[in-house]
Amino acid sequence: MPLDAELARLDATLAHDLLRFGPELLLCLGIVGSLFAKLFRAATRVQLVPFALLLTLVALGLVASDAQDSAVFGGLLRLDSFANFFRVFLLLTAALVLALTRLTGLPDATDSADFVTLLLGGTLGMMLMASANHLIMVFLAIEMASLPSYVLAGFLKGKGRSSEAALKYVVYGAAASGVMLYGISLLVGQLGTAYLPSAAESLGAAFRSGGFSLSLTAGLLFLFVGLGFKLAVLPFQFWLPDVFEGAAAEVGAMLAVASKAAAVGLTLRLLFVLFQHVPIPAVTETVSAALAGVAVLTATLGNVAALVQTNLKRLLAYSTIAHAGYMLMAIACIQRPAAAAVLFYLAGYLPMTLGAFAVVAVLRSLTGSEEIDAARGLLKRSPVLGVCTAVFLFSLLGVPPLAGFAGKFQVFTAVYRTGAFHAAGGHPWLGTLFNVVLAAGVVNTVVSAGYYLKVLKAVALDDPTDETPLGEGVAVRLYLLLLTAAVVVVGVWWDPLTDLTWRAAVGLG
Amino acid sequence: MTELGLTHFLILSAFLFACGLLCIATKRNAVGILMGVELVLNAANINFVAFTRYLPGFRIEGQVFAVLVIVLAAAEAAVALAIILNFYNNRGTVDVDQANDLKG
Amino acid sequence: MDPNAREVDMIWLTAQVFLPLAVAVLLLIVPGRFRELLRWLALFGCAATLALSLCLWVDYYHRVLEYRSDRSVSSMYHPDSRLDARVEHQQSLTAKPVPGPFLSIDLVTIRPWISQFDVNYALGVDGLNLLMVILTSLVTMLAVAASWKIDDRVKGYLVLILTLESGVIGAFLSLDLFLFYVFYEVMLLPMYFLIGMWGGGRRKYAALKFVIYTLAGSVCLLAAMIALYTVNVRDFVDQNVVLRQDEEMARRDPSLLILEAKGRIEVHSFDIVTLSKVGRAAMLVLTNQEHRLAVRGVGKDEPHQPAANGSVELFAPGVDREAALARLKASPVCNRTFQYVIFALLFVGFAVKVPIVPLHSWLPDAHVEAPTPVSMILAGVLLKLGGYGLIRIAFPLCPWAAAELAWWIGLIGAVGIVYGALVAMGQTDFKKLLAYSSVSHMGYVVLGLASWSSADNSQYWEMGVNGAVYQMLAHGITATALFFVVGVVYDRAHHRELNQLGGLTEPMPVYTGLSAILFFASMGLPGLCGFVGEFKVMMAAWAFSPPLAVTAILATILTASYLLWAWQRAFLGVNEKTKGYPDVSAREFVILLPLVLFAIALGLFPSVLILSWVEPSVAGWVENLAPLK
Repeated sequence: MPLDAELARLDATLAHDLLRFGPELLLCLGIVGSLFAKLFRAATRVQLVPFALLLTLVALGLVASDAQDSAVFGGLLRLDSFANFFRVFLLLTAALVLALTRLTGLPDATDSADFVTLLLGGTLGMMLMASANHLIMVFLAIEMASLPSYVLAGFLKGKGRSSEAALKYVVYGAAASGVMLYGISLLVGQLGTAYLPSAAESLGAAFRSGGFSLSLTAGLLFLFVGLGFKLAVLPFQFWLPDVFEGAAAEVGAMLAVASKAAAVGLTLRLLFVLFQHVPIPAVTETVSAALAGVAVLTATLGNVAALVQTNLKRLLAYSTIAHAGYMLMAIACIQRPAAAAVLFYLAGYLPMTLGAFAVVAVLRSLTGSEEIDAARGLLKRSPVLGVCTAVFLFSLLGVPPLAGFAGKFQVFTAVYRTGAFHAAGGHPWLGTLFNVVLAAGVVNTVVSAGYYLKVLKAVALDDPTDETPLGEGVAVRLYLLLLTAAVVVVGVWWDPLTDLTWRAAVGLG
Repeated sequence: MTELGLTHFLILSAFLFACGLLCIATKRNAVGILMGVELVLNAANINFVAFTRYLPGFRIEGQVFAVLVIVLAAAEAAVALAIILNFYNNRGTVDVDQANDLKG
Repeated sequence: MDPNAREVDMIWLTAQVFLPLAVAVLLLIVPGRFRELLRWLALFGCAATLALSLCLWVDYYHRVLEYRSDRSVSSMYHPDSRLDARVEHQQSLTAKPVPGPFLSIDLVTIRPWISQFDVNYALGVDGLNLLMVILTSLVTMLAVAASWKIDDRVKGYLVLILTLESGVIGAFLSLDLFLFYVFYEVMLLPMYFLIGMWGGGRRKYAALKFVIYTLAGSVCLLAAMIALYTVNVRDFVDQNVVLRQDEEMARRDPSLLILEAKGRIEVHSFDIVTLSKVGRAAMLVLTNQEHRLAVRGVGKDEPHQPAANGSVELFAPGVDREAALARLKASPVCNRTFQYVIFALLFVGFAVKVPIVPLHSWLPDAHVEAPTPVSMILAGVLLKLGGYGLIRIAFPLCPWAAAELAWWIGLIGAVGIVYGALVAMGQTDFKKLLAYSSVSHMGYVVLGLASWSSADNSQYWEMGVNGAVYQMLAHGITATALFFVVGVVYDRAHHRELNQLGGLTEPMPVYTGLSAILFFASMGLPGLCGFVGEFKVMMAAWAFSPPLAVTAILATILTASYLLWAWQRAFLGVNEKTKGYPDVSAREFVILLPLVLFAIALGLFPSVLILSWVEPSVAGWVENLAPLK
């Protein structure tokens, strides 16, 4: 390709591309700004979180008003409806987490610059993950999202557990991204390009000319190892409970919601784009079946392990593993309606998981404990907090008419339909497989009742050890009520969101 | 002895990768594990550079990849070392087996 | 003006469902210290709900049942007044390019809710669910009246009771499987808190057990619901829907239109009436009677008269019969395993609520731990949802499997009757005894439903279903009353041990008299409400399978003995400890009296009071299913 012509073309579209990249640039501005704030003495005592919140909301407005669908920066990124769904999702999560940290006072004024830098940096990386269209960007985005997360996990100063969480996270994370990079290097070498659409064509051609070579298979496998680590699916889930228990609940919320969503987005994008030229039965019989198996094991492990936990953060950590398992059940279908179901699941997952972590954060800031015992009699000590917690828990359990049920219903429906589709298409064993996946999902739901109700029992039925009112502020109540309202609204009024998720899924691949 | 080809580089990088993984799996010292990670990253880098040399269509992409990976490896090492230092300040050790407060 | 705005019955039905919830929201605003005000408000709200349901009943009786009897067809049984016919009509109006104008007098309303998943907000009234709604609002009102003694967190308690009422009424009135499921689950939450927060010593255990059992049942429903939703119903719905689907697809994704030839359009539905047609069609195919399947005619005078040649008109007007039949036979719904699995899932889902042995073990714990008013609602209303679900959903949606398994279901029912009675005999806890008697009594409902004899003597099955429905009503009245009877004595003795009671006749004569009537009614003495249902069920069971009938008949001896023995232990004899107990207070009397009066009236005038307007619905139900065999 003539280099000059290519450069001229990039140059011509640069202004337009930068404009569409505006939200990300705003975040960069925030990062640079908060780094510079450390330089000035007067600014070190200014609480930067509100500024960051404002910036995030402006970026959110920019993304929400962006309805174009095109590849930018010479195809490195693809800003389509799918990417925009995740950009909105991630910015919203970042804004909500920032607001939460103001309520619970996690970073004090001297720390706020660091915290803001890390949080915005992580969000930026996750947004890139959702829009990456080139394997360089995939790796860059994952690193960009991971590095701040490692540090955030250790953000509680002077706490041994927090630094231990960070250590475990960084060691495992670095190893996983190293393996992933090696996989990418094999993949790009075999396919001759790192640009995803062309790579997909090469992959299709490679398949048609007699199946995958060993190094191609190894490359794909290593790539999915890295993704599996970010998603925390079996057998790469071991780091997550430790990290969540050690890190602050606010950071846990960010990791549980945003980080997981970005990983889900990237996984969907890679699956749909990379395998689009490979004949369907070949994909489903290998990739889909393997993913479905992993999904069932992940959900089961998460739910069973959660049953015996006594620490709220650890319990929620296993619960997020289980939810990743449910989402993976639909991802394994590799079909557009199933992808739409996953996106809807995420939309419901955002308020309920964030809400649950927020309750833990509030409890920690008011009682100093994060054990289930700290939540005893919560309903008596603070009716508003208690009711909100009950709603989050029921939603996590998947009781209608709450958001968790809406997502779960769509995921299960997608799984069943995929099974019926394969059974009708002459693959009875795949039909059976997906029916088994559905059955496993259903059984898992019942199992999960065990630990969600354990928490609920402490919150609503047990007598408090300390009868005094909890004394949370009005702002905390409003924040939690907002999330509760979101859980109910998403659960009752699906139509706007299903339109959105459907459009995002159609834009995929 | 044939001429030096792509396969030789791939074998070298696979060897490095295996060494790196072994290092990650067996070392108990956090810094040692980090060195294993560096080996893995450099194995990937050798792949990229080798592909740049032998695949004509990949000339620029491969080099960009390699340079980016070097930068990212440095950033990752910096962050990881900072976290390890923090852990050392709290515990007085960098042995990952001593990181056992969080269990269950 | 938007013609749809004039669909008055939509407002009626919506109000019927959500009025208690609205009152609950109102209670949330009232400060918690005005306890008396809260109680009166809740009672007033329940009374308004009851009044509304009675208005609905009058409306149903006069406008639906009688209005249609304009032709030579005998009154009350006009095919057009059946729920299916009304729903079909409403659906065809909804499917028009410009929906409407909707009828305000058909007591059916269908509005889109979740368009992506074809979920409708569909409510409708027929004799069956109207009876249950009236029972629900009556029992809930009495339960609220019985809650005057609850002082702990009154506001939360009343809010939960009212939410529960909304959930139950919503589940009864839903015509959409998804909507039904939502309401069915919504009831779970208040019940958990009501048992767990206001219950007795082992309340937490009982609440957890209740939720786990019910949740296990409802995930079975969920799985069945998802499977049924994926069935292609395009030949059973108004063909305008198929047209619209085509346009919809084109709008969503232009590339799909090329791939999807028009013949491959799939229509999915959660609508119970539509799914039941699919179920019936599948049954005909599975029993090699597919020649009887026919396309429904348009514009005929008597659209639902059973055709002379035994054809069953299930396909929607305008459908090509051969193509539709081919599609039907190719679909998984005509697979025996599919039918068995779906029916099993639905059956288990509802069996937990009924409860059917061996899924009953949550019930005694829940009853024993729940406060008296909650026990009243649990026994009087919640158990009926299980039976109602079997009638409205499990049987019509999977008739083939139901017919195949009829004898086994009957056996399960008979075993439940005997088992419940035997275990009840061994109880010394008054409430536990009543809980097991509920298990026993609800067994009759299952047995009545199951007695699916052949098409020729469908009148017996009709009798069985009528009996099942009547038994649900009778049990709703007597169980509610008996749990209150226990509550009254518990308030005085603070225990429920039958062996330590006794000698209540002397200090509490009025109470003794009223409860004697209720005990006899529960026993099934002729002239009281328990007799009618059991008798009808036994008649039907005899025609169906004599061994099952004999079991059920012999079980009445057990029933009589444990109830009489319990009555004897509680009331007769001399007991120093109970000497000083005051007789029923005015409030208690006011709660007990209507229940006693109903127990007598329902036993004396079953057809005038109830069957006259419930039977047409049951007859329609049986007429749909019976000719298939």
